[in-house]
Amino acid sequence: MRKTESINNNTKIINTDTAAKADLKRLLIYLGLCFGMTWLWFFAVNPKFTRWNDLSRYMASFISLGMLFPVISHVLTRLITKEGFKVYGKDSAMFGISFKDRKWIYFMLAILLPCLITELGNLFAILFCGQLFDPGYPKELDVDFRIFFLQPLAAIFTGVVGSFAAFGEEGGWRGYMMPKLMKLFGGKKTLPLIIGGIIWGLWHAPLTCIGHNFGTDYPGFPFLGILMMCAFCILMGVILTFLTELSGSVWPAAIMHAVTNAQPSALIGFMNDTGVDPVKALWVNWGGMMISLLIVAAVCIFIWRKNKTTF
Amino acid sequence: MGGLLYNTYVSMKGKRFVWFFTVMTVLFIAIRMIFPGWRNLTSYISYDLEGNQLNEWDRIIAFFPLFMIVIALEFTNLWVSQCVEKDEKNKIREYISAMPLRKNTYVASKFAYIGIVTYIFFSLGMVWTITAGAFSIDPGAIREADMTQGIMMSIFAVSLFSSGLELFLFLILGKKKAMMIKVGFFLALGIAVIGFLLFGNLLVFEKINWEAIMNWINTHQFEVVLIQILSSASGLLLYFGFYKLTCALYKPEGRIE
Repeated sequence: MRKTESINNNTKIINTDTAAKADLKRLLIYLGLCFGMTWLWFFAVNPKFTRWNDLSRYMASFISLGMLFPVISHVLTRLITKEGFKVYGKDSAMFGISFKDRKWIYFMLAILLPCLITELGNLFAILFCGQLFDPGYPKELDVDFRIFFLQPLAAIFTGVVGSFAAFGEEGGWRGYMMPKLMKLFGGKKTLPLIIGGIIWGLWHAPLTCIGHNFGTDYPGFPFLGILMMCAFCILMGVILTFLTELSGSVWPAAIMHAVTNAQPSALIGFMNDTGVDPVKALWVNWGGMMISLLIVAAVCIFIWRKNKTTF
Repeated sequence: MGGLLYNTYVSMKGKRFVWFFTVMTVLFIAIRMIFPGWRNLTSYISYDLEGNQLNEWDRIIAFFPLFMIVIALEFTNLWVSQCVEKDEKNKIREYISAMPLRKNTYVASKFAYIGIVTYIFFSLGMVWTITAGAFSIDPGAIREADMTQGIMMSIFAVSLFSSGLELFLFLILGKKKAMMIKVGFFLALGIAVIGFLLFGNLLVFEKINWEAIMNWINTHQFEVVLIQILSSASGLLLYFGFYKLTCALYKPEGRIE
């Protein structure tokens, strides 16, 4: 009896080991494809490494189409590894949507959280540096100040409708990389979330190097920028993975990502960094956003722990 | 639901269209990257009356997104009637009514399918306009891309509204009656337009003060943004309204006679 039990345990260990190896291999294929294709795209489209601010609006958007490669890599990896294309449920691509069991709440959160995060982030930035707040800024820009109060609504709307690019990223990172990382770490979440955030941040490196997120005029450029981006991605990744895990779909994450990119903040219209040291402005803005993300991520982890025992 | 969506996808020969639009998009991106506006294509350079250089290549390319959007909208319009027609022909509705599915699942699958198609076409429209604008140097071509991008959301909102209305008519009244209403409406509209052009007072167009309208647009930014958001949002809301209305009136065993 004991002998059979021991054989069963050994088989289980061997099976888990083989499964982990297969998952690792799949993850590496995905990351190879994703980094390879995206970086190739970034370099092919912008071979002269023109700085982000010097690019035309359309060229910047065209380079941003590189956001579609994570989901393309996800699909290609599934084709290569023959994992199948289940759209919803366990071990699926999580492209499907379900509103059962109050899952619509996560879609609402995906719309509202970016507003809260960006508004709170801007508020912290103003608290750190009061000079940033300029109530007369809309007049200076010759813009009707009421437009800024519409900005969150406009950002939500354009974010939801034009979420395809964000779906491109989330379909890959949240739809493939995170589940694989979590599986590899035996269901534990802390380390996969940190590793996932770092990978996601590094993936942005070519863009950070041309000044996409933080510009180019700061000490330690571009390495510090890459580190800042990794830290941002870790915290943002916690919230996005939380939404994906609990809704069973990548769509809330895609919507949240898209709305965040559209900057759903009314305060931003009253923030004028003219006359503020650019490095200080960068630190204050980034710091404010990080604190805001930290608060929301902590709340997500708290809820997550209550829901799932494996955290 | 997933099965019903897949059934519609297969009956509409979805794979063929996925390939068509993917190949067109990849080709367009490749052509635009190989031949950007700043590449010296001398045969495409012309000059206007004031001697300004025009890049005809950019201008031709700028029409592609608009052309493809029109094709996409045409396909969506065609699929709305086809997806109901094919189900009627293959007796899919009778088959589904015998399955342990909720009453509204069939209606939801049709509305979801057309919603997904519209979303995909809108996304592709964005990709096409971005690609057209990114490699253009001609100000006219860039303006064209701006205009296409500006009106795209409203165009798709209108498309969503008309798709919702059509789906409602086709699912509730059946293909024959719905087609009669559709053809009757467009025929009446055509006759009204032709009648107006032939016998109407065309001077009313001259009385429209375009300058005043443009001035209002330039000086009322808040109202313009609000109208843009509300008009597009209303397309989505009306689509959802048509879905709810169809669910309320839909008879699973067949259409109302």
